[in-house]
Amino acid sequence: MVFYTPTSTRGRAAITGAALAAAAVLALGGCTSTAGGDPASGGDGEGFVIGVANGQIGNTWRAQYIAEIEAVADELTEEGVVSDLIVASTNADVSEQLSQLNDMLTRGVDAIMVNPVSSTALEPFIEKAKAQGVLVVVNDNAAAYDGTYFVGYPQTDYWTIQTRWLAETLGGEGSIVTVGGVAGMTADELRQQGAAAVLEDFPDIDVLAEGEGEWSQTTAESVMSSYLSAYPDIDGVLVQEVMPEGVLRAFEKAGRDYVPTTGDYNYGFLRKWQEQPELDSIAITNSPHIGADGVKIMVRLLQGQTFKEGELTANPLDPELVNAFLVPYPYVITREGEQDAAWMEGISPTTTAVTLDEVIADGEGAEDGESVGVTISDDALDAVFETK
Amino acid sequence: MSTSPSTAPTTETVSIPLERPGAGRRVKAYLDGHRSLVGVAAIVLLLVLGGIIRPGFASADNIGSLLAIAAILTLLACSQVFVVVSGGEGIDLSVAAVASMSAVLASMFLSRADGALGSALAIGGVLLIALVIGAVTGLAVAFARIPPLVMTLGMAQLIAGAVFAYTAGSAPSSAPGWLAELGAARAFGPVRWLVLVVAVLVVAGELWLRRTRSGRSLFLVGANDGAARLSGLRIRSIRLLAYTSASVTGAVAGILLLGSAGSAQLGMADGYLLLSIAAVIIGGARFSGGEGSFAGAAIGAVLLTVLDSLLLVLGLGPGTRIAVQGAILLVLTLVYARERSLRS
Repeated sequence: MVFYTPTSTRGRAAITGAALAAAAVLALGGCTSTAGGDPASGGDGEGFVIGVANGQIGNTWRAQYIAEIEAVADELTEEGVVSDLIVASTNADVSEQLSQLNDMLTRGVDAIMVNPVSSTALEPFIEKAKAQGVLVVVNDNAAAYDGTYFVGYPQTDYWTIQTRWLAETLGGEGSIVTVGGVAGMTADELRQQGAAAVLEDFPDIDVLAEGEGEWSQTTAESVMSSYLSAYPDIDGVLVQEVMPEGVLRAFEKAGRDYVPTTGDYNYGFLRKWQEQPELDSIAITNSPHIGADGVKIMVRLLQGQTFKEGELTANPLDPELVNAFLVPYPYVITREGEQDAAWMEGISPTTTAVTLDEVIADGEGAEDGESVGVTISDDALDAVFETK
Repeated sequence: MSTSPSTAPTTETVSIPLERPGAGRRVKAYLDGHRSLVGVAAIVLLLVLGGIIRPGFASADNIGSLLAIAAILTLLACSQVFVVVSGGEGIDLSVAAVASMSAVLASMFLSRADGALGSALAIGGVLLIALVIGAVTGLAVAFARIPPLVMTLGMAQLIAGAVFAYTAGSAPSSAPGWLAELGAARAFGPVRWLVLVVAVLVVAGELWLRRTRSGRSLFLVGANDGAARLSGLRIRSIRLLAYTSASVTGAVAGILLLGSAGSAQLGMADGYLLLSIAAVIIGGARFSGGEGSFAGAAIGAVLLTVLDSLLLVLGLGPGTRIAVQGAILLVLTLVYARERSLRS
């Protein structure tokens, strides 16, 4: 077994052990399945046992989140890198998640990836994991604990890009309303900050009202119909994922014409958008694939690989703690797919602008509720990890 | 909503004060007896207020859309009425889960259904599943004496988990055209089909509750199950009926929600749970049982919807709005709960 936590000194010997193991496998030519990757089996030659603790169930995003994790784990199992994947889910129950995490420790896992219910309740578990030398990766929803990693999307960018798109689309002036997620949730706060920063550059964009749709289509629809009743002139809607379809339904039910509205990245929305030539939108793939990304990164860390200098950034919840690897958003989807558009400036060059048509063509046969996205490639990961 | 609780014989017998009250208490008793009137007045007041601040808020179009938003909440509040009225600390924390489940299952079944018969079977299948769930809950509460709070919370979790397991990987699909039409299209003027359907259901439910033997036995059991037992009522069977009816009503709400939203999402009705309980309190139900009405629940649901919408269009910041909303709910609950205790 290979144990490794980034700050524990006793992990160092294990790191070397894993590195040696990796080197040995490479030398033996045992690596053929992934281009450029250097998969190595666990220290004892039986593959790693990894645990995944998911903090919410009951929505399609999380269902796909688990499915993508299982898909990547299957690949890694075939390669002999992972021997067992233990998945536990809870529906937003903090104490249940803690007991699931403790159970994983008891079962002797090598590493645990947790999508936390609460960003502040993990302390006792983290201490125990550290003492056992179990690697902990926090995924998707941020939490800041020394000695762990965080792997997630740069949530601030989500609304930075979309707000800039909306402002540019409106020619820098007009009245908009916003429909956010759940006030106080980290992802929502970071996005609100992103939007606020952009709006400072556009003084002629007037924000009429800011509401929360709680990432629910039905709530978003009632919020939007309230806005439509109160404001006769709305030029644009800044709304986060899941909710755009609800917003559009409010326009339809009120008999009003669509205005530029930021969109969703599931096929249901994208297909509707394609069928409505008068609808102007943009979608950024905050995909459920982030879980699979986390597993891929966690396995590399277990294998003893280290991030290159400068690849880790400050944790979204703690500027002092540099332990976050922010996976660039895979795609920005617009009708034209302009890579050089104003809203693409300043974001990761690996985020690709794609056209609506090609995304839909690629997703033929996919269910409406399925999210567009892609798991980070081994090449991209090779570029951020230290080469040996 | 033609039948108000105040006109119902059962409510009158319960609310007649023992002593002859003074003028102040008489006014209070009058208002109390005409709770639905107070609720309607509050709705009108909020609409007028909203209309002054934001012209358009009190327009016929917006009222039509507010009623449509309130329609689903109304049905879920009516679910609660069944079990609250039947007493025994009746509450159903699983109605929202049943509604979410029904929306998802209906979308899946309907997408595979052929023709009118297929659609009828699909809807019937969903209602049947809800009926079984309600019967299980009812049996556990009425016969095994498991506290409703515990039983229905557990059932909610079980349903959410089962639906998750059943649908994992494959996301649910859209509502068929006829259901989307029913959930979203206008029947005439600003009035949506959804509102008409729910109004008919509420009136029918109210008539059943007030005018039929089985409906009235629900009150008797809730008000005093000892007396009800002496009078020969089968208390357990009646409570079983209440939980089963609540579950089936929740399923109807879920299916209509699917039509209204156009497509199903897992857990899409979950946000209605607390509001459904608040609406019932505002609607004059008593949590110790024996009092409550569907019409009152409907008024409570509309009041909450209008309030929510008004707070949104006032343009308050998110934090302030949530705090104000919470405070108003708390005050409403306190006022109503206090009146109850004064009377009993």
